[in-house]
Amino acid sequence: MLVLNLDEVKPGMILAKSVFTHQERLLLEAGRRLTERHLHIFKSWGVAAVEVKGAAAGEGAMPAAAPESDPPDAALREKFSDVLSDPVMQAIMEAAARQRAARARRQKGRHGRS
Amino acid sequence: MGEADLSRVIARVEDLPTLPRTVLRITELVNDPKASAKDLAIIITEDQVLTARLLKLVNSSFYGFPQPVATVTAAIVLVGFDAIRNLLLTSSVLDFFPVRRGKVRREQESLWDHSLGCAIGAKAIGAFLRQEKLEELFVAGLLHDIGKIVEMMFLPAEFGRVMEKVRENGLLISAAEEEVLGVTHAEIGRQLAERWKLPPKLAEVIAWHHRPAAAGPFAQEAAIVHLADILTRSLDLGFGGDRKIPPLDQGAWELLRLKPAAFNAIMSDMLTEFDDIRSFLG
Repeated sequence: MLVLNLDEVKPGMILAKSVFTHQERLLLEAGRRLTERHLHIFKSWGVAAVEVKGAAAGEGAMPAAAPESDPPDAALREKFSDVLSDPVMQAIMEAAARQRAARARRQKGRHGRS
Repeated sequence: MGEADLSRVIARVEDLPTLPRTVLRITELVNDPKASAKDLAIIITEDQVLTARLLKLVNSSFYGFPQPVATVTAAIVLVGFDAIRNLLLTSSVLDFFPVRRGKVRREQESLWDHSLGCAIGAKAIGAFLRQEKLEELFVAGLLHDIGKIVEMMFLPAEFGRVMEKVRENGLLISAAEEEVLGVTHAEIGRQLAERWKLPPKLAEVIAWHHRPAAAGPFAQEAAIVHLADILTRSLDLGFGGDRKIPPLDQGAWELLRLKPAAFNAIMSDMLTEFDDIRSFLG
């Protein structure tokens, strides 16, 4: 999740937290994809910043680079063994390994705190 | 395999019950540009189960509204028509398949996890590509493997043989289905979608999620679901029936115009959202 000033927000980003006016009137619910029109409405209501989802919103919202130390394990390699001649599939395998490791670290962190 | 087998399978699909009338009416209404939130609320409130489910969902942390949402009309206005249709379609389709015990139940559940992963994936890819109809992609992902559920429920002996071939010969599930049934889950799914009068776009995407270019005007959507299927398998979300990752269709990849650098962002979103949804469904 990212907090962005309104002038940094681009159409296509996904709202992570509902936006309200100063009078607590709902302007747009969380989960909606922002359009030019929404941004215009926010501006006219004096909304200064909004929270958007971190990743799939497009450029400017990529997650921080993960460490290089998450190579695909043997089981994942085996699943991909018939398709690795395709460089795109190779990239999918590497990204999957990285994101699975990042998720495991997140879950471990949560359990550690509770 | 022979024509006789194909027609026998399709005859079984013909025998399947239809979707609950309420859901059909809702699907029609959502497609009608003149329909209002009030019209939709009238249909939903006629059904107590749907009403309870809808209010539970909009009051869950998934949406995170600050005040409790007490009425169906308020829920519709807040969440939107498309999301409501998705929710109701999804839960009705789930209900439609009776709960079995033991192994079948576990198989069904892990297939649903696979479908949920694919739904989330299709939506995440759509968001990345700045597509308009994300909810539609979500439903397409959710239902893309509905044909496998039909096989599991209504052709258990044949499905058992399919799974055996997958395990013993390391085949992809579609190849094993061709050998045993003479027809794949994609075609069975299309028959079901047509019988349920789901939108034609949805039926075509289900039919061609392994060969997106054949989906004609819906090739882009089919390509998104095709890639989402691959990403879901590579993240081990649920179980699609075989252990291997199917190849990426070259035509689909060209159609999507994605860069490999996008995979990290898309898959990171998929995992976060999958864990979120799973925690509130469970």
